[in-house]
Amino acid sequence: MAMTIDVERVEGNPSVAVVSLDGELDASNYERAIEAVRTAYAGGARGLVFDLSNLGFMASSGLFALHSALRIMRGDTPPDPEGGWGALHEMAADHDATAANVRLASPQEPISRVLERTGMSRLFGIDESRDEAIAALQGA
Amino acid sequence: MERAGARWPIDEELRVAQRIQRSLVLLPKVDLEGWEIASDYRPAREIGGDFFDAFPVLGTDPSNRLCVVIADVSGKGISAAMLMAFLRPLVRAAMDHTGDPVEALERTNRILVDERRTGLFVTMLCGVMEPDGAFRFASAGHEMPLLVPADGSPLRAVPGGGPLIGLFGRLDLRQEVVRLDPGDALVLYTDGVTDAARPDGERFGEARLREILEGQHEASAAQLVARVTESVTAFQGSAPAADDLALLVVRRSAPARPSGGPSAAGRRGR
Repeated sequence: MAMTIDVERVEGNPSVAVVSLDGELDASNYERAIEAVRTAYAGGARGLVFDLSNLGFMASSGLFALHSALRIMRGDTPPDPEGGWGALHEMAADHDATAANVRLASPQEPISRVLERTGMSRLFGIDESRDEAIAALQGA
Repeated sequence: MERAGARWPIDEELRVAQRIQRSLVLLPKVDLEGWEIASDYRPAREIGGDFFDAFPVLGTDPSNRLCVVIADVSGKGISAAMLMAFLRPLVRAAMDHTGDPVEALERTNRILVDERRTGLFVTMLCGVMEPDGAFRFASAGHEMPLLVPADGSPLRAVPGGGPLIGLFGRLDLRQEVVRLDPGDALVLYTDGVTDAARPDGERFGEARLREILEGQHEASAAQLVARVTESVTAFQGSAPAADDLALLVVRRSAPARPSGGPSAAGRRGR
């Protein structure tokens, strides 16, 4: 399904990448979202805001993308969903550690419902706006 | 993989994996007095990560306690399928050992978190159908089951549940209970049903699923499964499936009609 990804850098301490997801996040595009986060981290971003204000739908593969983003921003390697048994045994970090440097901004009601139902909302700071999320990360 | 000095093509490996996985996923015939069970499973790719199970609870009395499980492993393809193959007997063993859906999911979670860190996670619903019609279940982030009442009253989603398996050290789930009267059916599904999309991008959605199940209070478990899968397939049209689809319907058998009239089964032509 259609989804556009826009990445903006907000300099400060830490440098924050704002990844805006517009459309529907599902199995056809979740790897692009992960790749956007990977690129931002490699480029020096140490804080991440997912702006979800224009995301109308998120499939279970979207949950996987959010969790992978959390791992990338912790400096871990996320699992390869296409990998074999070796990929399934390579993880070592705590599963339930939250990432203080990843926040979700303005999720719409259907997205909030999925995050609540699955417990994923416990892993992320959730803010009402993009600006609030950036401020929370940069201590403004 | 080498076989007799020759290299096996990956397509052949996948075909073998697909056959093995389908044999693991498909339900053996479960003949348990008092219950009808029907299911369908359609992987989005050659192999998938959804699964379900239905089996009599081991060593319990009365013996017609039926355990049902449905789950959706995050990710697709081989890694999800391998985790599915690992989890399915794990949950079954936990249920055989404890008979308690909450404890079975907690044990499964602990193994996935403490011993087998995979980075993947799983939504799972596990429950026991009691002979008196009570369905005692626990849900780890799974879609809410839908109850289709036999008396024609509105269909309803059965709430309850906690976080999905594989992310947290403890799930702190609660046992939920819903009662099935004779003829009531419980529809368990994975998000491949509601997330199915047609070529213009519109999703099948929960509202459409409810709509097609409304008015189906006399349908058998097999008829309910067929109604849902045919509707999803027709809706999708030429669009490729985005996700695995698993559907499991458990119906408490309707009582036989008084002699002289057609039986409930006869009316439905089963």
